Amino acid sequence: MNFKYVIIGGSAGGIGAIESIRDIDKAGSIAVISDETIPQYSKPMISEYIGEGAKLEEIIFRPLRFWEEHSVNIFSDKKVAKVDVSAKTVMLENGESMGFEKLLIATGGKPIIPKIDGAERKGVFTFVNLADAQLLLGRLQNVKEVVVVGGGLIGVSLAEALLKLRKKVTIVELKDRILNLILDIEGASMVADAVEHAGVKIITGRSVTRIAGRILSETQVGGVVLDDGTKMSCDIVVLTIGVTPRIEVIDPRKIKVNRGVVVDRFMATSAQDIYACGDVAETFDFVNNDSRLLPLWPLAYVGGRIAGSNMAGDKVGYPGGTQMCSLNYFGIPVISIGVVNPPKDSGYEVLAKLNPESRTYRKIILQNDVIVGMILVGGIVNAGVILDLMKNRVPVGEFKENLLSEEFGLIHLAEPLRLEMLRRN
Amino acid sequence: MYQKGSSIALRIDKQRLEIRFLKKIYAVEDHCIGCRLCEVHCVTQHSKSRELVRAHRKEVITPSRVRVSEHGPISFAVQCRHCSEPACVYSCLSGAMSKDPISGLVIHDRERCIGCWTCVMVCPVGAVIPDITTSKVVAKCDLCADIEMPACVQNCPNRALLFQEVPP
Repeated sequence: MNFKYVIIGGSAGGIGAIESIRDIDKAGSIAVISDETIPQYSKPMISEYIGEGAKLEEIIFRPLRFWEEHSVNIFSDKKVAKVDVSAKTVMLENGESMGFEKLLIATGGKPIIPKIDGAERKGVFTFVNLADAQLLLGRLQNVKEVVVVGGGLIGVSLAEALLKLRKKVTIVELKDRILNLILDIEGASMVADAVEHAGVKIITGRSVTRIAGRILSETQVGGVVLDDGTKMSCDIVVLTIGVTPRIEVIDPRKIKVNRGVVVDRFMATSAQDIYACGDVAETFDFVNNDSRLLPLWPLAYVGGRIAGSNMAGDKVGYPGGTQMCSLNYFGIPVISIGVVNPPKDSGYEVLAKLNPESRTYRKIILQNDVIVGMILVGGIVNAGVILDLMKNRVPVGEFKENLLSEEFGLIHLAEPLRLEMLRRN
Repeated sequence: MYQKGSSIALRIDKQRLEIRFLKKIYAVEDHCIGCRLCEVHCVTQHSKSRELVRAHRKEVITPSRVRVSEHGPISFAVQCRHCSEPACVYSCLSGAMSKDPISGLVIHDRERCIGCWTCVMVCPVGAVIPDITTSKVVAKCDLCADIEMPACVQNCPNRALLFQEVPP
């Protein structure tokens, strides 16, 4: 079998690529290989699947007819064994092979499994894809107590979902606060207050050193032991430390791999006609002006669109992304973008306003009058206006004093930029 | 930016294919006095009864999708630009935001929205509004697709909002 375009992975990146390829090339044959049954669901929504009892069709990102509508040959439930760069062929585990003219590697990430004594016991789960969520849901019925290891985005969203199912949930976080990569001490403590108030127990500065067995049933999870010796009973443990690129199918001698697959601004890898995007790739960060792992759904989709355009023959550069998260856990809206914990005495200027009464917090981080980061808790309206100033590196010196106002918006920009934005197409 | 593109909308009639620019709403700063009637009529148009007093007094209403900003002597109304490269569509986690290939409208599906506020984070003009009456979805301008002239434009007493194919 030969195809003009072969895409490994049918999630955000793969879907973005298909949509932009079809804007340009209506006829070129496309094959998508995915190891999932229905790849086009929304990965960030797997916690809705757990907590809200959402059905599969409610967490679908693109309709079931998506592949057909875009004339895509979908090979689901199929695993790729290897990519042969010189023969321009993808080999599947079942022995089939596919030739390609252009290849996109959009394999995504896999959960990081920390080395914990007892992690092989029954009742230890990960939580990054639908299969994980289905396995977890299947086990939850008789479960009372859950320990979530890792207080990042996935851990907190899972904790919220489990709480809705009336489970007793404890988050164990190694660092001094939850969401430490995306929030500072003030922001994290506001979210932690809401999480704890809702009924989740948070333990910070501790790690799980051992997953203990159950009395009379050693192979089943019965509890955890922390590094200070504390013992806690629980029925299941979910590991939500983070994700790492799925690069197994790639030969690093043929395609350059650093922590993830290295791509240029056109999402092209070091190998001719092979592209990568999403959680598997190291992509351009416009704040830090470097390339790094940014495993975020919206960036995977946009990266996929850029890859697709270039695969189809256009020359389109990726404008770049950066750390950017929007959360709405336990009713507190939070937006975090870019550098949010600048090192002290390093030339960053920090503007901040905390209002404990209204539970709002606003922090803007500047470098030479250009915004490089922000945290908004509570009031998030017009966050995108600030993001746009960041992306375009607009000097904000003249209206800096307005940035901490909840009313900040286009109106505060200088006239030419304001008019341009108002007339934007 | 991401890709070249323009706001061209296709109208497919029975016999012929007509290509025209999508009509958009343009604010005229010099004419706006910040009266916020556009907001009032936006809320009314998107209410159950579509009657001004009844909607505001008796019904659960959604936030205005057009927002008047004021700063010193300047004021103007902002609503969705229906961008040709819509950041909200490209960032949506649930697939609730889409760009209609025929009309060119950026469309929001309340049923599929999960209120993650990712679109609020990325909209460059701040035109996606969290709907705090539900706390679960956003609200944005739909150009009042089922009436000829958007309600905010129709009811602006100063012609500070224009509905046309090209910028003023």
